[in-house]
Amino acid sequence: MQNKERYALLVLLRAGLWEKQPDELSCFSLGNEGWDGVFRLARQQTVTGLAFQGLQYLPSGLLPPEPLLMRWAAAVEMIERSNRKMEQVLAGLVAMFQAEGLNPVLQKGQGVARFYEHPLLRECGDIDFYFNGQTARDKALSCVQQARVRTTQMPDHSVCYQWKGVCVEHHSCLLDLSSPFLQRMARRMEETWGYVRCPLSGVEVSVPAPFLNLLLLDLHILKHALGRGIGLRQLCDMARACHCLHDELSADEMKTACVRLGLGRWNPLLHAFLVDCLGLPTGSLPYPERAASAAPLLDIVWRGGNFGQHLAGRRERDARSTWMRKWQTCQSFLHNVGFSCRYAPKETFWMMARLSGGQLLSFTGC
Amino acid sequence: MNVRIKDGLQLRKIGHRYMVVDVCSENVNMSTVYSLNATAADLWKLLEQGHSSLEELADWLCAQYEIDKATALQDVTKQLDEWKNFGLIRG
Repeated sequence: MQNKERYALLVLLRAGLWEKQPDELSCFSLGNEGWDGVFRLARQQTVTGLAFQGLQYLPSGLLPPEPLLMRWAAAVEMIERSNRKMEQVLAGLVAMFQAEGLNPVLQKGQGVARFYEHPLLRECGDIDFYFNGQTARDKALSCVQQARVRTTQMPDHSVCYQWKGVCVEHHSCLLDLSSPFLQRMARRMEETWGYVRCPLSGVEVSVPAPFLNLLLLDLHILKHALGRGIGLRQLCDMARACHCLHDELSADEMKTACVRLGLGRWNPLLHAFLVDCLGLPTGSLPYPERAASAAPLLDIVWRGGNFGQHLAGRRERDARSTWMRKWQTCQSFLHNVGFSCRYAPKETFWMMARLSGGQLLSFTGC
Repeated sequence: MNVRIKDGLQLRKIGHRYMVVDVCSENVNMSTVYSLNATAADLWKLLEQGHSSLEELADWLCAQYEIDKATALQDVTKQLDEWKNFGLIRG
């Protein structure tokens, strides 16, 4: 039954992502329990809004029972409201930083939502900013602290705080890589490609240039796939970004960069997922290489959900001590070690090195 | 009588079903979802477009369903009263 629910969710997502009729209808004879399962999965994978968009394309006779439809609509309403609030907070923060002469670069989040036909339906998480250079980071932190907001320094040098009820993070790296050698390479790519200005929520904010944006999303998915798990929302983000940005990229340049960053095996798997599971047209891939099957990644997606938040026992683990959580994270990596060594051996080595060294090796700090 | 929809409310259509979600707090479980039939949904759309008087709404109902004005006024009043009681419209 679970497989049928998973299959139905993917069909709904493909319909919602590309605004088209479902490519399969036989999986929707689900019954109350089955539909509850689809809804639960959509919540776990944080694609409730996108799946709801997919429901619009189902024939009336195949829709979920009305009580569930009402719960689903209420959840979508909340998602849209959260997004509106997030946009306001984002606009206020960007304006504050810009008034101080800073140029925050928006990573993912609302910067990726613009790739969707209905950005408000994408479930939002945190606001992630990247500040280029220590001076800018210090100044941004000082700005926030002047507003008497308590900030927390994270082990990876990022800073985290709550701003008007929204979690905000300042990152010291644009591209998420553990290997210090690859970090240097990524830094050079960042200097080459830079950022572009994008109107968002009434302000102009910098976002990574298309080439960097795709690399950022790609590496973000890889990092979480190697660790605690990755959810469908992040993969949907990647699919929409590929669809919107592929015209602005050179496939040869993209492939060369990805191979140099150690993504030579990983990307064909990711591409297979985007095409086979999410219905991305092959012509929209950054470059055409594709694995024969997306199954190894699909397995990780179903196991962990949104950043591994639905791994069995995760909640109990999170309640324990910091050291226990670190140990559990380490265990997650070990559980995935076969996958990790196959698809991203260099990153795996450096991730494990950082974990086992209590993240001391992150001294490079980009 | 002129009425207007409470801020933030939106009519949603899925298949042949119409719904309005009234979020009462940050908690999704505290939201109230109202199911509307097709005629009620059309009246709601007219309100969204700014046709807010009883007369306008009753005229539309007369034209759509070939009923007399008195019946239309009665039906529209009943519907608007219900929505007012639920706090979905004001005026």
